[in-house]
Parts: sequence; structure tokens; C-alpha cells
Amino acid sequence: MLVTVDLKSDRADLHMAASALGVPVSALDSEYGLVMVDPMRHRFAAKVLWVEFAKRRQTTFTVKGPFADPSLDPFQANPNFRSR
Amino acid sequence: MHVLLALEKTNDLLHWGLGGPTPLINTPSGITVDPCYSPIPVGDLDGSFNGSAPFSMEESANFVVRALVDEEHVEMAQTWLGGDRVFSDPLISLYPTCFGDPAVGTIEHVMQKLNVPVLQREALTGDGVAIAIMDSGINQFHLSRNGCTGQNVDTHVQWVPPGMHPPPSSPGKHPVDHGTMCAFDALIAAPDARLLDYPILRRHTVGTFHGVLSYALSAYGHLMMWWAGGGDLYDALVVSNSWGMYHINQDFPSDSTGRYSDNPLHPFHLQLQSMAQNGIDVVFAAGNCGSACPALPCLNNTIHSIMGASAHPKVLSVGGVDTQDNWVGYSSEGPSIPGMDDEKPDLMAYTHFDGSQAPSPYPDMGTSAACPVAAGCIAALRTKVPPGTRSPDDLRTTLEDTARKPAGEGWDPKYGNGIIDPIASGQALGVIP
Repeated sequence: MLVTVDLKSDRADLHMAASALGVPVSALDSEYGLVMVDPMRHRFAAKVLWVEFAKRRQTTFTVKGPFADPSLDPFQANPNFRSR
Repeated sequence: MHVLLALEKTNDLLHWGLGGPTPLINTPSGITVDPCYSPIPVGDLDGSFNGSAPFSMEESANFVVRALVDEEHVEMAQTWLGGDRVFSDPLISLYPTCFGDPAVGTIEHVMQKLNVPVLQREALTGDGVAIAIMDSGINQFHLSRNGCTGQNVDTHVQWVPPGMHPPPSSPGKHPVDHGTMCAFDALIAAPDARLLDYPILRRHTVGTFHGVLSYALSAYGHLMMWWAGGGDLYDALVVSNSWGMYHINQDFPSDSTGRYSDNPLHPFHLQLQSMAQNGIDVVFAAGNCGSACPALPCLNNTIHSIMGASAHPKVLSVGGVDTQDNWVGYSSEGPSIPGMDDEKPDLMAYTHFDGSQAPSPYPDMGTSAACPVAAGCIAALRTKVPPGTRSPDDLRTTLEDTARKPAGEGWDPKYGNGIIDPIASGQALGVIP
């Protein structure tokens, strides 16, 4: 699940994020990594793999989520196009 | 209301129809015959066609005139005329362009409408400007083969969708499809801009392409870091996004605080805010859920269909017009989803033209094509108007103020603030005399 976490530096890593989230680093999606959201607030996004996480945690000042991660499609013509 | 009245032939009507004076027709109160509409011969009203020329002035048994009738007097008009002789006169208009329709014009028409030769004469070509194409990947060879000159893709900037094994092709070497169309269309107004290839929709290496928002989030994070670190090779950065969410059923439920569609605090929307603060122009397609012919994935939802990033106040949301300046019937209309910026789309740009041939043989269509056309216009202007002198907000306001207004002054649900006009914008910005 997609969450954000505010850290103390814009040179953060997954270990710092895991610590702030209160989970072991193995609970985070290492391939997704840590994504910069807002450099001014040192806010990053991460993906938590633990299903239990959503039940256990509360939104706090520094941790927010889970956020929707909907599928996206191109705004193009495709075989599903519709004529009048 | 306007109606058509079928009157039996009289000498007065015949003379009027032949160019004579308008006769005095004694109508009951509430019915006014239009003196400017000459009678039209309509033959027999029962469908029989008697005589050699039943629709000629001389032989027609009946003539139609136009009249204004109060709605409550329509029945009375029928009675006065002695039968079914009052017909509706509805407003009519052209059918808008829809998916499946042939191209309306070519890239040459688009260049003409945008006045690209004047942009080039004033050296507003996108030189020194980067355009990030957030899409399915770009094919440089196809661009070169179709008239784009030089090396358009900056291959030094490389982002790979997280967790993708094996990783997709390297920048500029993706299969020819939607992303290449977007790249081609961005270069129409800004042929000297460099393209950054972010294949966020290439979730699968084979078959259809789509992505998830976390890919876009990752790509934007990469782009922000690059801009903060090595982006000084360029004077400006424009980000073109021809994608979105077709239907709200793909999102969290409406009572969730983590929703994407209408939640300004979603991390992707916070990124957009941050991009604007850092002088980056972000352009989004408005969507293809226009009321005349929505795309199938819209599931016929055409109300408040502009949502998520396309409805964000810091982005330029772009709808589509054809090269005859007519709104295309699939271009999403405003107002956008409640909770975001109501007055979207912001601007219209050209689509549904014969352009990139990617994929052949279809026109470049959808608001997918309109978005990079607008992004290219911005890149052209940014050649001489760096974000240090005009912020993305300022530039967006200028683009809106100087747009051509086919729907009149003010914001319009279909046309937004009008059709993008880079020359007028350049003049307002002081870079075109």
C-alpha cells in the first residue's frame, strides 16, 4: 500500500523510512524504493508490503495513508473507441 | 418557440415566394409569421407527389413559412390551420468529430493554426527546453523517419518502472505507439526541444499498455531530483501527460481520505504542487469522456469526468478541438469533479489530425494528442520566457487570457478559456512583436 512519510533529510533511505513507519525494512517494497514527494517537507512515498500494516497503524503527523494507486490509461483512441 | 407552419397555397403566398411583397397574414394572437423567411414549396403534405413538379412554386399545393408561437398556443395553431400543419424547427448543429471519424486536417493545418512559422522566425523553437513525455515510451527512429530532425530524445535521462523485469527498452527505443505519437505532437511547435522519455504506461512489455499511479509518482520523483540536480542543462522543463483515470470506480471509496480523484492531499497532487513551485510547467489531457461520444471505458459517465491530476489547480488541463476549431465530441467537459478546480478544462488544443502515423493508420486523436500539442506551444514560449521570469501560474494565466474564444468571453464547459494561441501569448509576453 502507498503511504507517505516525513523524514528529517532529503537524503533519506529505506531504513530511515522503515524506522519512521515502525516496520522492518523488509516490509517495504525495495524495488519501488523511496520516492520524493515534497522536497521542502522532506516528504517521501513508499510502498508497504505488509497487509497487517493498514490495521495496525494510525495516521500521524509524519505518516499518512494508505493512498489510492489506481490504474491509469492513455487518453487515446484504442480498440475500445466508440463512434457516435 | 420557432415553428414551421404549412399553409395552403394562395396567390399572395405564391407572389411572396416569387419575390413579391410579404402579404398580411391574419394570424390569431400568439402566432407571428416571420416576414424574413420566404415561403418554401413543399408539395402535398400526405406524401403523394402529384403533378410533374410538385415542389415547384407553381405546382406546390402547400408552402411552409416560419413563425414564432408561444408554447401554449401550438395546439391552437394546429386548430387554426385545420390539422397537422405545425412542425418543430429545432436548433441544429454539426455533429462533432468522434473516434472512428477520419482525420480532420493534417499536421500542416495544425502548424498553420498555431502559426508555427512565426514562432520559428522569432526563434521560439524550444531550444534549451526539455519536454518530459510521461507515457508508453518514445521511438526515436519513427520520429526521424517522419520528419523530426536531429536527436530529439535525451538518452542521458533514464527512468525504469520499478519492479519491471526485464526492464523496458532504453530511452528512445520503445515500440511505436501512443508515447511516440505524443512525442511527435510535442515537437510540432517546439522542434528543437529535447524529449525526456518516461515510460510510465509500459507496465507490460507485450500487448496493451497501462500503468498505475505509483509509477507516475516514482517517475515524477525521479524527474524532480533530476531537475534539482542536473536539470540546469536546460532553461525550462515542461511535462506532458496524456493519461488519466477513466472512471471513478478505479479509486478508493468516496469516504476514504486516501482517494486520488478529488483529494488535493494525495501524494501525487502534492508532487504537482511541488513541481509548480520549482518552475516546472505540467500539462495534462482533460480526458475522453465528452458527452457527444465518450470513450467506452468512461462507462457513459460524462459528468464531472475531469478528475485527479487533470483537475489540479496547478496543471494546465487540455481538451481537444479539430483543425476547424470545433470541439471534438469525446473531449471531457467541465466542471470537473467537486473538491478540485471546478473550471477545467483550461484550454483547448488541436487533435484528430493526420500526424505522427503512430499508430498508423489512425489520426493523432484523443485529448492525448491535444495535450502534447499544447505542451509544445509552452516549450516554444519558454525558449525566451524562462520560469524565473514567469512562473507556471503566470504563464498559464497568460495562455488563458490570450486564447481564441470561440464560445465567447469567460470559461466554457466545452472550450474552457478558449483555443491555445501561442502567437497572441508570445505578444502578451513581449517575445513576439
